Amino acid sequence: MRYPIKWFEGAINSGKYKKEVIAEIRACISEDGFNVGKFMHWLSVQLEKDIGDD
Amino acid sequence: MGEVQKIAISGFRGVNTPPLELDFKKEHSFQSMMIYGRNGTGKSSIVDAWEWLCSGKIEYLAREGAGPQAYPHKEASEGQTYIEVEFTDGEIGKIKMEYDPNRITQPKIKGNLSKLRERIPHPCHLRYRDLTEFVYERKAEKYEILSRFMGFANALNIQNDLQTCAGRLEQELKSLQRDGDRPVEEYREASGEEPKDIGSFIKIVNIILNRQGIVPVRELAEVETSIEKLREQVEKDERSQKLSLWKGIQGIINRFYPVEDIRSNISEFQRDLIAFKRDEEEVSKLILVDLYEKGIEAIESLKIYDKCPLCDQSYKGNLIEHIKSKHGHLDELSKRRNELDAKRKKLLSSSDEVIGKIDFASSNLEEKELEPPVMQFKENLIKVKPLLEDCKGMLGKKIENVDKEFNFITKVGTKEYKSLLESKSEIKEKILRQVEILEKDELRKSLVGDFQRTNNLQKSFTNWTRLNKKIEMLEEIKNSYEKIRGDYVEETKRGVQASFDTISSDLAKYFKTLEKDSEVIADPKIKLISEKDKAVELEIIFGGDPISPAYKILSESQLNSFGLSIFLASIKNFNTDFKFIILDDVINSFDAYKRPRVIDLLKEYFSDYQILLLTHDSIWLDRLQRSFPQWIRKHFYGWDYALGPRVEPGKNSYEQIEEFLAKDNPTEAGRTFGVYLKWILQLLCENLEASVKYNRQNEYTLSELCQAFRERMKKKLKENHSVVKLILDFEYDSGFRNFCVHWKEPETPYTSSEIKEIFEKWKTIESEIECPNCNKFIRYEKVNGHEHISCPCREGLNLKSDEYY
Repeated sequence: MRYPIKWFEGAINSGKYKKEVIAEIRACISEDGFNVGKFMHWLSVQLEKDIGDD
Repeated sequence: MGEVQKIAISGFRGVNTPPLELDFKKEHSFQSMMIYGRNGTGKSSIVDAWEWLCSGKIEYLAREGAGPQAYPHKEASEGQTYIEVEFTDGEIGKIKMEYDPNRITQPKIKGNLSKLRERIPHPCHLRYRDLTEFVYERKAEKYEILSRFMGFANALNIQNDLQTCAGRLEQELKSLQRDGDRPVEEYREASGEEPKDIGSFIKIVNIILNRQGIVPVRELAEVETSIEKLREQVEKDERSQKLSLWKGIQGIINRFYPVEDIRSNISEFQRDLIAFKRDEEEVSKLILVDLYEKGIEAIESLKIYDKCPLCDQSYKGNLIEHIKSKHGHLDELSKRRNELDAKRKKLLSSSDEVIGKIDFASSNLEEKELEPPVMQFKENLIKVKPLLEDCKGMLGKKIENVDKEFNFITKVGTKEYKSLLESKSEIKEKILRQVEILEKDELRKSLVGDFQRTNNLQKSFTNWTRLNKKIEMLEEIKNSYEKIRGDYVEETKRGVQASFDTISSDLAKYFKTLEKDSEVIADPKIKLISEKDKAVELEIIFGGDPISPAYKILSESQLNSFGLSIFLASIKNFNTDFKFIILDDVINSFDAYKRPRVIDLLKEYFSDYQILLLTHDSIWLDRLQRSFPQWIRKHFYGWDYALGPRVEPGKNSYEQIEEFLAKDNPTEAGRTFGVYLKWILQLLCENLEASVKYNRQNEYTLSELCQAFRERMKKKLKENHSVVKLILDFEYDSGFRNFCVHWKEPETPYTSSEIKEIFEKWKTIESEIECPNCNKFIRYEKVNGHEHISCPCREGLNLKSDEYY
């Protein structure tokens, strides 16, 4: 696992995981690590969006 | 891949301008380099710059909270902070990484950096601190260190971030579940039962509507219209409207009180804060508590009580007692700080709760027509809120950053806050009186009660439904997230374990080289603790049995051997396209007698590697230079704030002595020669198994050592041996005898020519007992009943041969 980004890219295409979650995790990963703030923001938008759609 | 040609570092950490240039070219090839310099001469800035180039950050600084803004030298202006490295490999060529003050995490890159990083999957630099961390840290931290040793730093950073995020998701879920308690409570207050589903909600609403003669509803969307019909009925009658208003206010007030009185706690906090901050200078030293703890640990472990482990300066007196007393004082201050911080956190939470209540009451009272005393209540809320928010803002800071001039007492000592706290009974009684008067009419009481009940039911049911939906969705995302995280962690662990397996045979070989006299210890292994996300144990075979964790039996020095072996084995196995290593003072972790084995290790397994070795141990440098005469040598002889390291060509002890003699400085020449001779005679006595006159201090004089060396040589080689003759001539020389007595004195009673004479005699002896092939000194061995006085390779030197007689 010296190349974690590759693993996440493989995971997106594997079909094993909920697509929007794995795609967002991948989007939050860079050479500096995983951007927790960005993921939590995405989560709050998802939760509000779902209620709004309702 | 080719070698490193040149490293230039400018305006970075302890290096200012002009750039520090390390040119690896010697004659027609590129060589390894050794840099000798005392602590604090800027050597480690080289490793820091290298790590920055390879990974974009400096991990140990990041862990201490120092980001890229700590990289530039304070005097360096824009464009002057950079590292530039030239490689012989044309595909990489020259790479420059320049600090950009406008985008500190995005340095300006020139050259093919990604290609370089591709070739260095494993870090190729190791600091003394990395090894000490490896020795002292616990299982989880050790896993992190080992993983980073093996090039898993990025994977591990992601794993740590994912874990942090998992915690945040859990908190978010708990927070939503807590929020869900309020609508349930409100629903229960309005209906007497807990919310279940739409059907039961509509059923309850219809009972109320029926009582007020309104057509029942069939679905959720119709509830709003029916509530409007109830509102119309209430608004038709002025007194019903008034009752509705008062009951609404009653609900708000009942939710506001009880409210916490934080005045006495704030006064106590203010008092303690002022007392704590009275001595700003001492408070600023709290940062040293950890350093003192580590210092005490290091001194006790190294058992050197008269020299500072940080700067190597001698200390007159008991250094450990001195540090302990400083530590004790700061420790007391640290306890006071923690107590004060606990009070700060409690007050922060209290003020947050009061502000929350003020927000709720203010927003709900906003559009209502109010009468005294509720009108004053609302005005007080508006005045108190910003003052409490000021307090909250200040309480949200670390205790060191809380402004001692900030007056908390004034902020909460207002008459408005006092009035809010004290007017509870008056307001409640006033509202109750109004409600009782207006509720005398039963029909009105029933209508307004039903209107408010339906309203509350609908609000609480909507909130409950929305929250449930959020919780459900969050749980779904969280489960999916955990599955991804779990698989990722497993995959990382598999990778780490595979790396452990890959390096295991080299690890065992290197460990054996470093620990060759520990016959009962063998076969070191790294084992993952599979049931934990991040934990590792070291295993060793001890007397034939596996011992795990190896700490049970390994000494600190043996653990250092373990750590260095892991690092070097990882380099060997993973950096196959990049044979370059930086070792920063790692030798410091080993006992003096083990240090030559590091040389053996480098010589035996890393002769095809280019090494940049930094050390502050001058004696070891002599050994190193004998073993690797072709290496480039540099000496950092000082450090200057404006210029950085002061560099000159590195000199071994011989060269230093010759220079002092050339400058007619017999004092320094004699001191350097004395230190050198003491070390070399100790080594020879050990090699030859010579008996030295015992003393309890374990301190030996030059004459005692020389006598033991001479006696052993005489016994094993006889008096007519040419080398023995040289030794006898050296030892009985009156100049040497005089030197033995006086060499430590600052005012020496001998001249440069006297020192030169004995120095030259010793050089002649040394040239006879050092092997020109393996660069090692003679030793005594008995094999199959035959005694040998020869070098370890037995090819270059055999003092038992006839030619010496």
